Amino acid sequence: MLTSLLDMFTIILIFLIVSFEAEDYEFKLNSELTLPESTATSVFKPAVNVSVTLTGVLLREERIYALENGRATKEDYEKGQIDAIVQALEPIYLAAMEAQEEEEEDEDEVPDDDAEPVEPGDEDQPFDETIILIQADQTLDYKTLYLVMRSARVAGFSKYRLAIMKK
Amino acid sequence: MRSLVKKRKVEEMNLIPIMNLMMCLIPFLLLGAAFYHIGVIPTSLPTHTPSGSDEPDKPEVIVTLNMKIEPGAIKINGSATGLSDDDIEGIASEFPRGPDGKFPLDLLQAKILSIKLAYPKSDTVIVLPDDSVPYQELVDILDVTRERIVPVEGKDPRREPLFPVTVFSRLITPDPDELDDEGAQGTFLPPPGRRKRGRKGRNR
Repeated sequence: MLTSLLDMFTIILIFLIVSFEAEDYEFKLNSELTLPESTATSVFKPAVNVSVTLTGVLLREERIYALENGRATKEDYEKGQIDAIVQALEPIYLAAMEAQEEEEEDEDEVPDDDAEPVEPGDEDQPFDETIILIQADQTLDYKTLYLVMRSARVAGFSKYRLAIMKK
Repeated sequence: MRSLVKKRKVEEMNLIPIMNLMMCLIPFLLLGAAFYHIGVIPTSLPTHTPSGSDEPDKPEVIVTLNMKIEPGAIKINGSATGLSDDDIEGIASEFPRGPDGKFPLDLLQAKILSIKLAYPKSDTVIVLPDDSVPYQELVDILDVTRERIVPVEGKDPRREPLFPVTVFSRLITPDPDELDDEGAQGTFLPPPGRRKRGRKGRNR
């Protein structure tokens, strides 16, 4: 009687083992948006998470600016930046830069002779707070997306990652 | 005397312990299962760089592609030191929307592939979309400019990089009434005939 149930559980178990991900990227997909699909295969690395839905801009799940059907105010478009985003991101960037400078100072003081040289791109960066990860709805127009990116640029961020759903 | 034939009882395997194991493992694996896979497209915005460079001239030409995405067409052109006018003309292309309302991405990729084969060290594309371009359409266009996916029989498809470095900028159409000679990054300056008289130009 239990044999058929055991068969079912075995199949489910194999499927879950295959799709198991041991790493927790601290990334939460916002339920209010649909990511665009892409063939990009760049490795996902956690970063400062900014979500751009049709109703607003969220920084780490906290709403910092409201959008109306994916559009900002005319004044913000003319200004070329959203002050609320700049004010929210600037302290994060400054703190990240200070932390990086402290790390570099520590490395300079205690050189590790046994450390192997790290190739660019192979660094193990569990969380890089100098990179912005933008998850935006696929129906958003470029004008609003660029405004958000430009605001982040004014705050100091120069590296961006656009989150996509792998095809 | 009867020979007693001892009947061997066929004992069924006790499946309850293994079911217990399943009931413990499956919720644990469900918590860690990934039902969708997130990727990223690395990109950047243009930054101000000082004019002139102390680096020696590199013998190989590196072309930076400029790709304007307008509502009706995609226009590409290239810029690089050492390119002749004929070379620049050869790079410039336009891809209007088809009757189905979609951009001919396969033709776009074929053109970009030809540019890449001519200038293999080139890897940067500056993207200037119109404000109304939807995000998904933009991502679809970047997919064909970033790499070429070649199916291989019996194996995973081969990915050949084309122009993987993406720089976003914004095309700003200046108001004709407020036209001056000052250019902002990402703008295409109007032809000299449209400039107001009496204003001194300023080099970018």
